Amino acid sequence: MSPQKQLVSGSQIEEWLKDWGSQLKQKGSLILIGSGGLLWHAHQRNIQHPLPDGSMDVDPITQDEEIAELGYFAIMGSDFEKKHGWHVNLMPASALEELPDGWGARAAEIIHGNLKVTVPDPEDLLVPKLRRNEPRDRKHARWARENGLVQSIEKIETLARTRRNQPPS
Amino acid sequence: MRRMSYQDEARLEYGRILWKKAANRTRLIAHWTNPRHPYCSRFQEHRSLVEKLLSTPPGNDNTLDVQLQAEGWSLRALTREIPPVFGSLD
Repeated sequence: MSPQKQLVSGSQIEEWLKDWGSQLKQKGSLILIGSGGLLWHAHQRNIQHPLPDGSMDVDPITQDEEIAELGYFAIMGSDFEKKHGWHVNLMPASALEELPDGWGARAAEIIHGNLKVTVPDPEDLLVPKLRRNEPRDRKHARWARENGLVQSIEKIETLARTRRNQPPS
Repeated sequence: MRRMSYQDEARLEYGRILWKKAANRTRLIAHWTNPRHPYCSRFQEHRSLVEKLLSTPPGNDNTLDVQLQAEGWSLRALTREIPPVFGSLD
């Protein structure tokens, strides 16, 4: 069966994380941001509604060599993408500066084999998205609210306006 | 030092992490010097600088940027000379 061509379900995220966790020879960690993080939260709450417009990639951040290697070779056009239908987009650690202060204390953690995964809270994940504020970002925010991942989009919009650490494009 | 885009930061950050391991260095160089790679000749032209960039610990970026600017480069500009990886490496 050909892979689903976009990320729409949290189970896709969970399967990917379990797969990487089983591949790691040493303990390592990653932080998952972006819509992949939202999907992960949805999966934990058994939310089945697909992410509108889907996503073509996941955005992990890591300092661990083994995980970086897995991610570096799972880019667009890789065998990983051929298998999964979406790819890995390694993000720099500085992308965490886009999250509101204190995000680490609100984040969730899960262990899969040797892999520790940290996922910022849905509200925190949506702040950089609503700062960017593209149509897809707004759809993802509405999806998160409709599915109970966040309570108030207005609060997130306020946070999005108060921090601006974006680098030049 | 001028801040880079996330894409460029990631290229440098993860390129350096991979560069630490000899097997990865060999793999990347083989990929980038493959004549079918569209950046092959460009990489050959700046290879020593790119390798120096990837070998430099991140804590020395300000010093490196000053050195590079004296040579008509910058950390940001040289980072963009790190060739992409297309598809699978092999």
